[in-house]
Amino acid sequence: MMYDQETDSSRPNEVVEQAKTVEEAVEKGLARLGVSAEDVEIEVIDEGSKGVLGLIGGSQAKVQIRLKDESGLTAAKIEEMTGNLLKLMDIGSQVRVDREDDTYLVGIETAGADGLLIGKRGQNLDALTYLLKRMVGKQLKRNVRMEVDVGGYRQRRVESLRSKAILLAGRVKSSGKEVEMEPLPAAERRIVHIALQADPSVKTYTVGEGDLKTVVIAPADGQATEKAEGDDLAR
Amino acid sequence: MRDLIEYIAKSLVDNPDQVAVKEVEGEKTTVYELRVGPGDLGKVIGKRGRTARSIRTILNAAATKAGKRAVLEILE
Repeated sequence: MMYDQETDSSRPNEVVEQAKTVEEAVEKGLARLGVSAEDVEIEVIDEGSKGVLGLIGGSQAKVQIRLKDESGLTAAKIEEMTGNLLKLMDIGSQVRVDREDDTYLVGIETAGADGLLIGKRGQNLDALTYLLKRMVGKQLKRNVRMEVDVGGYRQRRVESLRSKAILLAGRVKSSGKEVEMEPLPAAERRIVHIALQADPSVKTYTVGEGDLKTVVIAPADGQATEKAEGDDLAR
Repeated sequence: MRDLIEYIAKSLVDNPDQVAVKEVEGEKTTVYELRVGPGDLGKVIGKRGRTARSIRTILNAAATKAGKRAVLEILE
């Protein structure tokens, strides 16, 4: 169900309902809010009891129903669309969506299909991430920042790239020669740039075209370099 | 596979009702013809073809899992 961003302000975003059973109370509340169960958080205040012999001391079921906030709705939408897509790909999976600052972190765990979903150099995962962003963005009518990971692949990749960058930077420093890394996608080049940003003795820059783009780690300006590129000296 | 393409396309376009996917089965390869409404072509192709490329990548992954080969054609 689509979330109407310009919710009628006269409509409450929280109700407390009482009925004979929890189910009935929830139903009443949803009807009053005019939404479906997926758009709300439900808290049971009192499960209700029949009391002695169903006559005395019985209490009604009581629930509090709150509309999910925008962030909760966005996360639910992401989870739903990711789940649908994976199901249609015939990949059994569990999807978890967390929010960190303004970014939604989508964690996917599959039953033995991690490699397939990640693809060579993460290209399937890149495609999946791009499509999900577009699809969710279209449905919610706004851009949503998302990061998608499968079986912790991204996380491991970040760590290994970072340590590799630092190792190579050490070599560049001792040899005075620049080093070119293997071809890396944009997000991974960024990890290398950031990992070495704080190191004043080396600089990094991107070379290559398309799928062959990668990062060169070179001695910083002013440091001895045997094979300095004309571009860099010319300024 | 057809449902997968249809779901992705419908989620991307302005006119989901006008999305249609035709399946043309060949000996080894199945061709899927994705048709979208007028003005929606750009939505499924994307800047410099990035959306179309991503759909094809995902389609290939799903086809590989099913032990098949799939080709996607996009028409208006």
